Amino acid sequence: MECQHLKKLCLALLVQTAALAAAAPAMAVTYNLRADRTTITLPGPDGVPVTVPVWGFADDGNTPGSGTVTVPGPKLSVTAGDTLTINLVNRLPVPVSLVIPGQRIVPNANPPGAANYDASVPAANISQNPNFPVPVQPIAPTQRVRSFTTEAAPNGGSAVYNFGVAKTGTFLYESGTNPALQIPMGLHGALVVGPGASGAAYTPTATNSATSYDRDQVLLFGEILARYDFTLNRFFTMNEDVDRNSCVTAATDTGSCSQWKTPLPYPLTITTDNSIKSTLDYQPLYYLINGKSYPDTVAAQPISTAPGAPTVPGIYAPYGTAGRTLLRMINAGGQSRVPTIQGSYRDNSSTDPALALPRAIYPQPIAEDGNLYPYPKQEFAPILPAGKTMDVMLNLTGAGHPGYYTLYDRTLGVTNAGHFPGGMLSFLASWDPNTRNCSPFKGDLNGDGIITISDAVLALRKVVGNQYDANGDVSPVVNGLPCGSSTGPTTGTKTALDITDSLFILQKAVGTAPQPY
Amino acid sequence: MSAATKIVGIALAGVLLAWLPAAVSLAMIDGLTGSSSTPVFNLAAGEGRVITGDGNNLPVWGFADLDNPNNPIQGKVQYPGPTLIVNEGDTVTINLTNNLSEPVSLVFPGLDVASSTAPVFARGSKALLSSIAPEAAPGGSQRYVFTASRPGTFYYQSGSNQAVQLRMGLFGAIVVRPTQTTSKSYPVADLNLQDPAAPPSVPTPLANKTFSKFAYNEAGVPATVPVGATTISNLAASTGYDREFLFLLSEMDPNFQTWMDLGRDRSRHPANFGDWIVNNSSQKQDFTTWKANYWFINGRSAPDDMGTSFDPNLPNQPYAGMVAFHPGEMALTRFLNLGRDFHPLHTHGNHQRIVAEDGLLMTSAGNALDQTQTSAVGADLSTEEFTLTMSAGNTFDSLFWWTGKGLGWDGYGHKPGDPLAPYEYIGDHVVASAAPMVPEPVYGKYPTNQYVPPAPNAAADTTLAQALPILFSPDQLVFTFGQWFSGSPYLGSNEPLPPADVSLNLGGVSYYFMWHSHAEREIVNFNTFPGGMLSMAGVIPWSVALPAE
Repeated sequence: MECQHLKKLCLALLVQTAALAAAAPAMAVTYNLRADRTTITLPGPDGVPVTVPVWGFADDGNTPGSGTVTVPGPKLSVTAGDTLTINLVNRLPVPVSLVIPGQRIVPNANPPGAANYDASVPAANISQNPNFPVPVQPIAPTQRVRSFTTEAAPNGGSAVYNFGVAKTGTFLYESGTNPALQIPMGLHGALVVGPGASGAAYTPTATNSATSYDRDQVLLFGEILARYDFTLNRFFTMNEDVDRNSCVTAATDTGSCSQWKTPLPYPLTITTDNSIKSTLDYQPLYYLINGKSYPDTVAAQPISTAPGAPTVPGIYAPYGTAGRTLLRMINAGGQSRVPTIQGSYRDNSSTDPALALPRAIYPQPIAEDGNLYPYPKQEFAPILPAGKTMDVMLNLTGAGHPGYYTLYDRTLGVTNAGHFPGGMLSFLASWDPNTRNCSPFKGDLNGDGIITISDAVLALRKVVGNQYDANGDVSPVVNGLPCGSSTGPTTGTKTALDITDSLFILQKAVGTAPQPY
Repeated sequence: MSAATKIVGIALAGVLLAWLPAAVSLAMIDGLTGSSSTPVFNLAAGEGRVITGDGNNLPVWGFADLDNPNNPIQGKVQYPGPTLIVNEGDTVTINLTNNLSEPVSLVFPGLDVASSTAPVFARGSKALLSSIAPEAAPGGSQRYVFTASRPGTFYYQSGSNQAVQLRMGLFGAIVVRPTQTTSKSYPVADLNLQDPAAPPSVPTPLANKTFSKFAYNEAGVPATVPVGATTISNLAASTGYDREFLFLLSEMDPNFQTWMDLGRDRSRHPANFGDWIVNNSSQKQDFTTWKANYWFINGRSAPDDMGTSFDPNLPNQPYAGMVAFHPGEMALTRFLNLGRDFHPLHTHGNHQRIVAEDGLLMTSAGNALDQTQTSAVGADLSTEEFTLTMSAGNTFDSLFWWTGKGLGWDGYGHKPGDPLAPYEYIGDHVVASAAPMVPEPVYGKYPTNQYVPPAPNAAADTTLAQALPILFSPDQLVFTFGQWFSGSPYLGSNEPLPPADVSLNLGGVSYYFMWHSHAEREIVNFNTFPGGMLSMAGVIPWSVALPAE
């Protein structure tokens, strides 16, 4: 019941709560979100970054316009038992609304009469179905629903969404307006409600009792859609088409797309070859986890929010007593995914990883769509359809040694513009860098991202000079993973690189490093 | 069938008529079995070709068995790879030799891998990830060891360049048999099935269904469970079976396979899925529009999947995919989907009971990974369904049996006084009655609750003929179509077929039910029905022998 997020407006409803004199005081959590345009950069094929225009949400906190627009939108956190209100400001040239499947919405939270339909008259009558046997006059509809809920008007409008006391669990928030277009454009994000008492993601039951976790991590799956233009011989993302379309129809287009006036509504988007497209004409070109595709998914990530916290390359999933990681999987894309976690860990039956027993990783789905299962499942290929949320427990309490485990989409969304490796591919880094700094990328002493002869030379100099280097401390290699000395130079198990380190780095540089077995 | 064999097939139609039924393998699970508790399999990744049901010929990448002299296609690349059959507790070694021009690796979802599972980053670079498991370089080799700690249905697949290699076929099934061999019985008297051991002339309900083979261990599983104040059979929690089959599902986009064969730059390694962009006057295609148009069961598309295993006409596709069992036999089918699309597998004839997913029992045990617990509870969370949702990389264990119970008529076409068939539902058996058999006027049923049969010669014929609830036309041509028809609607009977009609019906007296992808788009070969992910399940009367298991 504490206000732990600076960007949240936390108002204790002390008066009401005192009057009710019931349970602990509920907080009113309010988020001020802004729908706006930005660009994201993805690792394109052959290492050339690709910039893609997107629509996303920003958390403006107390200062309108201050937040950074991201895709997916900011992760919304609500403590169990708190109420959730979202104020939405819309800076996009199209109406936008917000829905959270699985959360109830307080009726009449918005003023009556707010538009959620399209009142424009089509340029031409909708032609009748030629297969319909009875002649019917063409009908010219004048109103068409375009939103599931109250809209924030284009170019600065706003709306308020009050969800009351939020239901505990993992949820997807997304645009409720022209969702076929706006959700893949980037208007989506994660909502996490909880944990509840004693750190449980859900209230445990007798048959699904292990709902508490040590760490949790949102994994939001999304796609960037594209089509191939056979005239210009290149891909166009749907985002590009929609974005450009918004520009060319602007009355005062400055070329920067900053002055949108009358964007063409879905499903019509005019493409460079002047053909009319719908989202059906686009297929995933980039596959994203939390807005990133591999290798950006394994950029160094701090293991805690503490200043200067050590980092791991990927998703931190420690083992041992604090080895329960809850993966909150959400699919904001349009296709079903199969998030697979691959690998076996070494259990704690021996201090020597070579002698410890191997155990397959079985991810354990415990809840779906914010509802706890009566019994947990254990699947290595769980289905995550579009719009689904699934809470998957990864239990590494029985592991006794470091590991680096693959998480990837078994429907083969593992490419960047067709190039493997890429896409929905990441790794679970299972070690505590405070005590043992393992990494498959160690050996890169000069920090240029690749191990070359110069790294080997640097390592050899350290060996000769009796010097230590954390990046060069690769030996011993634990189950295929360069880990180095267990405690580093300060406590003295290894005070300098040794010849084994430099030899391994040299072998790695020339491509003859022995593969572990 | 290739075009050549089709021509031969037409020429030898008469011969085939006599030859095919006897030669149909109706196989159990074909594969390589370990010879000890530490089996070693030597596999080689390489290129091969598959033939589709419509005669197309496409390149695949697959695994070959290098060292088993009993394997008729030893040394040849298989699609899918060799099925490895081992026992619970085995320590299994796989030596992979790589004859492809790019790295290949193996991953084993759900299996306890004792060799390293560390990913391979060339020169320590994130961007140069080449495999998510230790790999065999081109021309090189790699060794993998796993402990088959738990029984179940598993697989191996490539962990390298998966966008290409999994589409090309680098996968295979692994079956781990449980340690349990002691037989176990579950009460089934309430099912009212004729005891095959009893004299067929005396209706005798089978007391227990006894199994001696199991998909999972269940020594401690109770034979009955209390439900409220009563006690019911726990048969549904059992994984016992009489016959065992394997369905490994996969699919291909022929345009992609053809590009891999003829279109790509073969000097570029690894093969790059993203290079598949064809833009010329006759074809416009890019990799984002990959779309399957061939679908396979055990590496064959219909009708080839219903042929014989190790057919020399299908040199890279040794495994047939057809199910056959006697009435009352429990059939275990191990389903694996190793394609990248979802395949809803649909059974005709009865529902199937899904007892395990991804190699683990559907159990309420606190931890299904703990075999002592699953042994105490069994597959008590199993579900009955007729369309099995299979995502990419899923495995399921399915139990299916057919007794004819509940048809409401005598599926064997018995006449009064005829003996019962083994496992026949006694309630539907036509019995002689001492009382006059006067049909009930509204529904046309006898006092025995059986349908009045059609009487072509009603005035003269007062004996019961055969008990089908519809008028069966004497004109066979009205009903007779398809190669699986015996000419009779009754199990164990046959009637003359139209001249020149070719029947694949085993013994001429069996029932056949289609098992197929319920995404009907997938039961075609390159858009033409029938084909693809389609096979037949044969209910074979006990009078016709099936291979011993």
